[in-house]
Amino acid sequence: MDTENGFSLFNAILDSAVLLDKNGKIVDWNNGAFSLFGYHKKEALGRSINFIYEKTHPFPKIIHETSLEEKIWAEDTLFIRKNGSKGTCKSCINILNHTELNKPIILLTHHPISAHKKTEKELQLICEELTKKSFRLFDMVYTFNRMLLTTLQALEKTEKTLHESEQQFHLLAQNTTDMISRHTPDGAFLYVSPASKLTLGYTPEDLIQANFFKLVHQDDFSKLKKLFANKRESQKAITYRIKPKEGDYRWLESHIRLVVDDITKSIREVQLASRDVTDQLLDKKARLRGQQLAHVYRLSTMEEMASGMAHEISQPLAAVINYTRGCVRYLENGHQDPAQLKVAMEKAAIQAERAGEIIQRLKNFFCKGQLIKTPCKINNIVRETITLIRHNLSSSKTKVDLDLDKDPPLVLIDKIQVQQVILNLLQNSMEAMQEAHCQEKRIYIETRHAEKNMLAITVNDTGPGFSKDDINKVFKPFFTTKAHGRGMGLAICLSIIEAHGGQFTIHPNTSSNSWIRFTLPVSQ
Amino acid sequence: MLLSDPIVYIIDDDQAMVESLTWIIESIGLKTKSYTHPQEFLDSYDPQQHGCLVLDVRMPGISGPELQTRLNTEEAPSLPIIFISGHGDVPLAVRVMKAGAVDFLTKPFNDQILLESINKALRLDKANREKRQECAQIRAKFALLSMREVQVLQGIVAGKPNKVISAELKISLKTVEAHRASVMRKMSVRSVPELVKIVLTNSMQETAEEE
Repeated sequence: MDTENGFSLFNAILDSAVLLDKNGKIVDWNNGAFSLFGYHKKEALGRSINFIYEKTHPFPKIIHETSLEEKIWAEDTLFIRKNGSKGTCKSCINILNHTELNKPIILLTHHPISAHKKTEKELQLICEELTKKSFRLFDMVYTFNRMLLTTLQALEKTEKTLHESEQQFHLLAQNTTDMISRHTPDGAFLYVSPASKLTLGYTPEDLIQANFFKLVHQDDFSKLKKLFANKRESQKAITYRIKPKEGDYRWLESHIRLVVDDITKSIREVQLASRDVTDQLLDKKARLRGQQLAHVYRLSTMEEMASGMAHEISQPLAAVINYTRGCVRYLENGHQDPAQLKVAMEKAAIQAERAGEIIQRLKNFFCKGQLIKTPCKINNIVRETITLIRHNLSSSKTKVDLDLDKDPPLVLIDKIQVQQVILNLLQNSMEAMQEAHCQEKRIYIETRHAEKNMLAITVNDTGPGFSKDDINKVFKPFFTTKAHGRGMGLAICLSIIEAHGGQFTIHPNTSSNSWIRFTLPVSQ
Repeated sequence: MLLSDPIVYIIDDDQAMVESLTWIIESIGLKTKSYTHPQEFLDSYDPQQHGCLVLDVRMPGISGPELQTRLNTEEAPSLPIIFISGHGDVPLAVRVMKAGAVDFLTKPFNDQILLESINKALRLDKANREKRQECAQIRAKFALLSMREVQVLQGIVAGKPNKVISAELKISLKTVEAHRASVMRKMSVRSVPELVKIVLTNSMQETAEEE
């Protein structure tokens, strides 16, 4: 049977398929329809197809129109299953004109679309939700963006400032001779500028993580530590001693800045800008003391020189007495030529004047005074100084040879102080030769206008001279090679000559004779 | 033998001092000779010349005290020295006084004191020279005595009678008497006390010179 072939095909369709007559009554019902709607074939046969739909469709009309126009009717339809649940499916009616049967076959198929629909709806919902969310996100992004932009601008500005200040800091820190350092409150180095090499002899690498306090002199330690902890003064300066990698303690002057945490109010770090002030300090002290020292020294040499000076003064006084008393005697005797008496009286007057000059010289020498520079003739000063200790020279049997510049320019000096220097050198020479038991005791003094603006005075003698080792020490106060020396002389000489802007040089006895030379500025 | 006129030697390295000393010393009619360097004085020094020395302490080359020492060690007896010094150095003054200086004056000094010291020094020098002359004469007489005569003289001075001397020397009493008369004649004395005095003076002088 043809139809049987047709029906077996019909049952093989997995989708729901229903055959209808022209009035819409169910003629056949396949397995797909059973699984979709839940009704058995015998329950459905003979009934109008509308019983499965939620709403009634005008099937005889639809079938009629579809068969006439030879097209497919298709519509999304809502149906109710046997168990009452609802579903959606696409219902399609195909009119098959079966020529052999001579009557049309009306095939209604159902494609379940409920799952599609649901997904579609959900998708739509999700889509809507997403759109909303994306709008919100967009808003947020926009706001964020604006914030970010502002932040970025601010950041950029800050960074620029920071960069600039950092650059400035580095420029300053890396290049200044001042040592810049940052410390924890308990002294450990956080940063130190390369100037540390110059200031302390340590490279920054040596110092990082090391403790700064360990280098500080123990006497200064506590006062420095106090400043590290004192929050009340945030900026302060201190001078203290510190031990460099090599050599003696040096004086450092540090400006200390404390960085206090805004919130916890604790000290976050301590910043130091330090410089070596040893030389200035010593200079200042030396200069301050120089004059006092020179004065004290002059007073202390007074004792030594007193006997010599007394001799100096008594000499002309004794002569004056002799001349005048002699005159009195001649006059009493009444037999002397008045011309001879006159000569004697004049000689007496000259000696009295000489005594006066010596007293004046002494007064000048011992009187305290600041540096009073006047243009002076150096050769005269040398000669005058020699007469000051003429008797010390003669009693120690020391000869002085002068080699003076024929026509030296005037020098701008404090006469008394320069005299003191020469005097000191002469005394040193004499004593050195005495102690070395020299056979021939000679001191040579030379004045030379060697440099353009400087006049050089050189002193040497037939004594042992200075050894190379001595030279490094002789300028230090209290260094002496003499048995009863004070060790002040050369230190003072140096300070006097330096105060004049001159140089003081000692040549050791290594290769040739030892000599001392100092220079004095020519009066412009 | 009469002493020549005394000369006051002045040694000081200060020209003004030398000149003024000459002036004041010559004002009392004394002869002077002045030197500014001790060596010059030593070079021309005549030990026979009566006089005294006015000497500065501090001088170049040879100092005053050094010159004193040198003069003392010379065979010829020293001139009396008056030291003049610019400063009263007590240890130095003590030293030179011990070594026989007449005076130690500190400049500036009173002219009267200086001149008195000079006179004192000249008197001393005169006395010294006379004593030395006397001693020289006695020594010359001693030189005339024979070995035996000296032995007899020693016995006499020791206060021994002729008998004892004769026994000790194992010579006859007559011979002792003859020697005794010879000693008295040669020494040109008339009595034993006179002889003892001469011997004593001489031995004192010798002792002094030995010291």
